[in-house]
Amino acid sequence: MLTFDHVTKQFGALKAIDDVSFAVKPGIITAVIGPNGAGKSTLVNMAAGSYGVSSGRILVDGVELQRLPKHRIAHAGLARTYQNIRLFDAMSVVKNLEVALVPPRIGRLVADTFGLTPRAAAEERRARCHAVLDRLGLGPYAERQAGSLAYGQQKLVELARAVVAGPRVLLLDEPAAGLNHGETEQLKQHILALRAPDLAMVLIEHDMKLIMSISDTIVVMERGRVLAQGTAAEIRANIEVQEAYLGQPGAIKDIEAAARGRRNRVRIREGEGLTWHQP
Amino acid sequence: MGALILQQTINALTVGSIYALIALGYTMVYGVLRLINFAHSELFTAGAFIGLALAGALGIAGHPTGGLLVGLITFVLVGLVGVSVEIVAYRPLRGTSRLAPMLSALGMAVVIQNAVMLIGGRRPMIYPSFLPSGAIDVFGAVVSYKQITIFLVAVVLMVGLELFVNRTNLGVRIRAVAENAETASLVGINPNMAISLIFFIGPGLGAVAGILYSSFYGVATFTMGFVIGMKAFTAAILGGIGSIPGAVLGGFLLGAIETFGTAWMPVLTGGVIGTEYRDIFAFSVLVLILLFRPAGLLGEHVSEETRVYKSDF
Amino acid sequence: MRVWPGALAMALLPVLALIAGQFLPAYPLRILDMILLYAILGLGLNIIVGYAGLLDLGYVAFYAIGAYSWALLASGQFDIHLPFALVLLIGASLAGLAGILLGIPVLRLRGDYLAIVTLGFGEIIRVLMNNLDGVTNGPQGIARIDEAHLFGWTLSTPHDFLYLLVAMLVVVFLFVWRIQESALGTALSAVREDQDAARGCGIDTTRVKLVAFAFSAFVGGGCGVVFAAMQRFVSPESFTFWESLIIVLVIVIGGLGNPFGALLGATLLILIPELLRAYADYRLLLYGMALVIIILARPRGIISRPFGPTWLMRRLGGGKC
Repeated sequence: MLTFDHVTKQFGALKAIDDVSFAVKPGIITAVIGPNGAGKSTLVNMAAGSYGVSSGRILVDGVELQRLPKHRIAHAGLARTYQNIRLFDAMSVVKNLEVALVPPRIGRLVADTFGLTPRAAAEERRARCHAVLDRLGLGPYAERQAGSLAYGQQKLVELARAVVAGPRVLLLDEPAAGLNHGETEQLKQHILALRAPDLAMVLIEHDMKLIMSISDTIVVMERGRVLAQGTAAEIRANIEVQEAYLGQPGAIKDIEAAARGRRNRVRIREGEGLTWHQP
Repeated sequence: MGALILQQTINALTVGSIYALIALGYTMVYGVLRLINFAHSELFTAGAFIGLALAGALGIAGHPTGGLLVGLITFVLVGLVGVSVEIVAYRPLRGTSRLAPMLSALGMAVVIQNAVMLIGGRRPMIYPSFLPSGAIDVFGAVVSYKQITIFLVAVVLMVGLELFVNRTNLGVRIRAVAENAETASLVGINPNMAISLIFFIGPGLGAVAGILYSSFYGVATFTMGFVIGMKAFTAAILGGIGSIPGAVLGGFLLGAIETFGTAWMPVLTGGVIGTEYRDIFAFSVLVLILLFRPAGLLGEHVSEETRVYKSDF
Repeated sequence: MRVWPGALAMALLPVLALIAGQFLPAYPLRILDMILLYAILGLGLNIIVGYAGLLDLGYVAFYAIGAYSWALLASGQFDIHLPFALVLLIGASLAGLAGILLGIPVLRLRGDYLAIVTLGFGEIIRVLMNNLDGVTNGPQGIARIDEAHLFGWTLSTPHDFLYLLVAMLVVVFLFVWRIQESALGTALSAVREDQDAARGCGIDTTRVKLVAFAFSAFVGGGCGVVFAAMQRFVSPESFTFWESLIIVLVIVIGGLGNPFGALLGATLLILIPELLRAYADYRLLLYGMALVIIILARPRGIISRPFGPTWLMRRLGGGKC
């Protein structure tokens, strides 16, 4: 379980994240949506240790991430993908995955270099990488240079690298950005297949269709605050309610547009009968 | 005692002025390209030698007003060399690995240094002073006109650079490219133009520093750039690499550390550490500063990942 | 996959060197020794520059530490005469230790600082050697260093050293190859490619770099001991910045991150100046130009990274590893 506990992030005078609290439960997919600048990516970057936390706590199964150095966050069970692909371009696909399985103890690493650790361990790591690659349909590309693959495949390799170590929390930062329709569909199937009882998945996305079709819970953010939280059905209903009240057809499209940073922002107000957070 | 400290302060300001002028070239290049321009120190040397050759050719050696002319021409000539070095050796490698341009810079340093040697000779050259001679007595400290001139020239150049970068259209373009070359090109700023400008100004300032340095010590050798360049780069890191005021502060600070360190270390250690260790004070200080303030004194503390590597927003 | 074709092909090189050693007169033999020594240095430097992608411009400092270890521990200087094998270990370890001490403050910082701090470190070591007259004899250096004996075998002629150097080359080559193929190599490659993403994958980048730096320094120190034993004279003049630069050139021209590259680079960089002896004054100028031209034309060196020993094994062994 991933918990944000009164988390605030201040960039100079700008409060990018303002007292955000919510929990991401294992076994389900939680989507975080909101317009550009709402603070979604900042949240991910804080959890992953790329940004410091100004105040509050971020926990994975009770371990406070904000106190850990960045590499220990991965050992605590959090893995991520990046908005802009960040693979190790010159390395083979399977080596990219092996990076996530490098033994954390430096002594072990040195012993391994001198051949003092059992050979089986290294072979098992390699086998695990191949298993994950096969699962994601990347088997044939295992020995190819990561940087030479097509964009969609690179996105999948990133996903594979994130899951190979068996994380407890998986942060997917816009996995569908830049993918075509077919690739998005494929990605959707892979994400759904990754769902496991002990894995909490966070999905940051702009593709509303994808979000509505795979997420179990949705967190709506705006201007650094959590605006609403509910099941996909509730959020969808709320948007439809708004359509009815405000007479704005196609509000879902508007949200998508707003999410892409266009001008027509739809304000989601407190709805009736729904469990809205106080903005 | 007071006079001694005053004397050392003045000496420190003189050396510091020269370090600061060279450090500016390193810091501007690094600020824009994240490249350690190893050729910069050799352009400093080249500046001193070109100044010498010009003085000979124009027949104005040892004359202060002639010095101004020589300084100007040398600035332009070495600036043009700097621009060409960037176009030939660094530009084609932009966007490859981060190691490749640095190695290319090392190669250029070797080329320039040896070109200077082949033309100027292996032996140290006696250098005519372009600076006014004479000295005044200030509370018991001897302040030579040379020192005053070096300090004034450095201050004028630094103030000029600061005004140029902050007040002029071109300067704003340079800052925009330093901030983010991609965004700058989106709003119609040609990054190559700004980068060329930096490779004109930086080496130009370095060349003037070369003339000042050799005039002050009365000698020029083809190898003199190496250690000075290293120290000037240290000064740039000290102040916070990428920061123009930082380079100035770092230069003066390093001048002070070195002057006072060299003077007092033998006394404090009972002669165990003598003046021959002058050249390594800089590095000891550098390592210490990096331990406690990794971004330097005026550098912004931004994590490596957001600045140097692919950013992820 | 069959292992022997690749192994055999690689064994050919040391065997050829040994055969050549039987026929060559003393002078070319000395050049062959130097090629081997620089190849080993290149292999060592490759760990930090080629694999981890960090520029070390003061490698000569570790080489110097090794050389002075033998000069001080096996000469009349302090009348200490330790056996060669022991000093080889001491010198390499001292260099490795220096690497760790230097690396701790620097390696957690931006990679570029390493270039300038190692450059400074190289100078510090040289200035120390020049000025600690009581210990190092200053600029005069230390002469009349002991003849090296290794397990009852006297090392004095270039021919004796050929055997030692070939043996060292094989050991270091296998060590470096092993690093490349092990988890440490994977971690180092990740650091080189994208340090931030590597940390995100759980790599303790600072420590991994530190280990690489120490290994690299260790090899440099070992080479220094052999160098001092070969020359039987050391002085600060042998350890200038140019020496560091030449070792960098060895791996850059040969091929960064490729053990074969270090061999090729060392061969070229030692042979070419021998051929250019007539143009002594232009030598460094030509070196510099060669560096720039090669970087521009082949930024990855003559033999690029993927075509290393593992590739050769696969290629000749037929099939996958």
